[in-house]
Amino acid sequence: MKVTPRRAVLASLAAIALAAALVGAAAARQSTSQATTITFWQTMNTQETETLKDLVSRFESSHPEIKVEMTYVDFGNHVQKFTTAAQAGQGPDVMRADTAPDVAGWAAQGLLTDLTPLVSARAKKDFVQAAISGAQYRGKLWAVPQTVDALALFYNKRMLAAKGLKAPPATLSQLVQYCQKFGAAQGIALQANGYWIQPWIWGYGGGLVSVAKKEIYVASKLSIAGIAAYNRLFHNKCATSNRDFSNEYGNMMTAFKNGKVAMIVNGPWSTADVLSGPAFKRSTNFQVATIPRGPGGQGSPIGGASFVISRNSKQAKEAATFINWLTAPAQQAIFADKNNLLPSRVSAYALPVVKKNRIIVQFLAQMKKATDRSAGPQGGQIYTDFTPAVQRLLSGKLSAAAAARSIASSWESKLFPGYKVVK
Amino acid sequence: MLLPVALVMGTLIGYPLVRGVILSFTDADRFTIGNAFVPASYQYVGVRNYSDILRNSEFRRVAGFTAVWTFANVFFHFTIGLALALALNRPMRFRGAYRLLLMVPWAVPTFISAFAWRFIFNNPYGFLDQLLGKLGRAEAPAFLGDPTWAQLSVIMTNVWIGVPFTMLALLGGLQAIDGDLLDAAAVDGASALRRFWDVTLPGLRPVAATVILLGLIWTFNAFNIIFLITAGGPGNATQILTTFAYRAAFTDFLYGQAAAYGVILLSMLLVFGTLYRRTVARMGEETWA
Repeated sequence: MKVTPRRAVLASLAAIALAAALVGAAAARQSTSQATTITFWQTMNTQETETLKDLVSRFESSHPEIKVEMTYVDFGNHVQKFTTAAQAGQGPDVMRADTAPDVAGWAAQGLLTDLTPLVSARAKKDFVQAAISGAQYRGKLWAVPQTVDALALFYNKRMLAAKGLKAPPATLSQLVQYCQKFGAAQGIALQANGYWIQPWIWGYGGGLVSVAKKEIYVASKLSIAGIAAYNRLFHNKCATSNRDFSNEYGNMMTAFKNGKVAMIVNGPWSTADVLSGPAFKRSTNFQVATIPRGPGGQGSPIGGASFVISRNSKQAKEAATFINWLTAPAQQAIFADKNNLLPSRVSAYALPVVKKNRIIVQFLAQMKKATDRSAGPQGGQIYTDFTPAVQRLLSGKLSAAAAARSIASSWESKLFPGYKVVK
Repeated sequence: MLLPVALVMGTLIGYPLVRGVILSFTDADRFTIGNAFVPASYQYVGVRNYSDILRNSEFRRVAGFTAVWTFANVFFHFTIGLALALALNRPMRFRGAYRLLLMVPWAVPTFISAFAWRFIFNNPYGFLDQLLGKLGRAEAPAFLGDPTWAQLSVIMTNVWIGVPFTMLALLGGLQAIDGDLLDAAAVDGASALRRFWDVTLPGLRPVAATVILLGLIWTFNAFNIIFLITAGGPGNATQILTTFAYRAAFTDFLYGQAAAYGVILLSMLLVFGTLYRRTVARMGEETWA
């Protein structure tokens, strides 16, 4: 082929254009490779993770300068994982925390970045009280709350109606009458777990521990009465006799989802899973009520999830951008809509999608009757010896008083030395 | 020539060991151990961790179950393994296939076996519960809810997992026994039982001693099965010393106490180890050392 001058010009123009395009592409690629990658350990359950993945990809497209690398960490051992990793200078930039038990402990260990300067004043004023109390420690903010929660009574409306019960039980003794109508294995399913027994302890006027007063209440007369009442549920044809402590949570959910048990006690995180069950094809068959009142009060453990930034993080600023975005009212509304999670921001409750979510509204009634269980940096450890004692109680190896005393003495020796054990 | 080896051993084993022993004399926990941002602030407390542990009635209970767990497992590994090895040590059809199938429990990763068994034991949705229900039993035992049943359940699982290894080792031992000896005994009129007792068993001794000692060490140290099936529950009933030490370190974050557990466990294993070496030396089986 003969190269005419004209062709040569065209060819060189084309070459220049091509080169320019290549350079442009390279530059574009370079800008993405310059994006900061933040690592994120998340502990959400299957249904929540679906929503989270969606939100993270939305975040990445609106914030091209930040990439989020998510790793699932089992909720059951997230404390051990993060504590050990962060202590050794490793672990993620962002960790999802179980606010009330985790944050104060990690802050006291010096493992967290102080978020006080990284969260806007507007957001700080907008957190609900239940969310903010666990996120603060010694006057500083260490976590950005995402949700609040508490245990509530779940019931199968049709099963209750079939026994002529129109409303949920209002008192703990009424709860016993209710579930006795169902026979041994169909009234209520409960857990052999320190966390699940708390409403009964508070309902009978007892308590756990007070860091301010340096007193342990779990072995007080009233607490023992609550623990004994919980134990009786398993022995008077009320609660499903708990015969498998290893699989009890899953078995409780399976029974309730399949209409094999009329009531359970659980938190907002489980509602999306409950609604996937065959017993709740008609979703209004699933109802949430406050935990019944006891002779000494009414209570449920205040909890919730939040996000913390590891002090090892080299990109705390970008990490803060991410968690501030993820906990903004608009994103909380999506979690509320998809997973019935209770927002941590007051303004989110004004959004229509939250306001008209009746499960959230039902849970809000429980939040008003919920109990602050924060117990300082050691608060996360209180269940370690609590749960085995409850297991021994329910398997008939310990009396309520002996179980309570064993919990109190282990707390006193391991967690709260010098505290007074109130009788 | 020795220097690189000494260096590697020193960094990989010596340093952690020494640090562990030192920590066991301190009150280190997650707040005092220190990290990149907070200086360590733990203090030496002498032998307090050790005296606390030895005085703790929970520790004595756990040590008791550890002994039961170790000896029950090794006993059943050996007896069942020997029976299977004897059964397989005869000419038969599909011997290779049987041997392969019997290896399955050992070949499956333990965490998968543990989850499978946890599902089998599930009450009321598990396989055993459903099976007993079909057989007309009103209520199956609470495999993971009753302390004694939970202990039986984890031991059963570990027996299931450990038998193949013992079987294979003993089968090797059986095949190494000189067939002429057995033939000669038969010609002399020894009964089958007598031949087993006086020829086969003595011939198995070197292998058997090694298998039992290794079994003792492995079972004593076994962690996965219990941790994944019962997590030590109900109420610490199935806790063994290793899972109990793990709990002190990673649930309670009492590093000083956990280190003391580590030292106690190590000294127990040193006893086993010395026994093992002595036995091997006595057998004159250098190949096994």
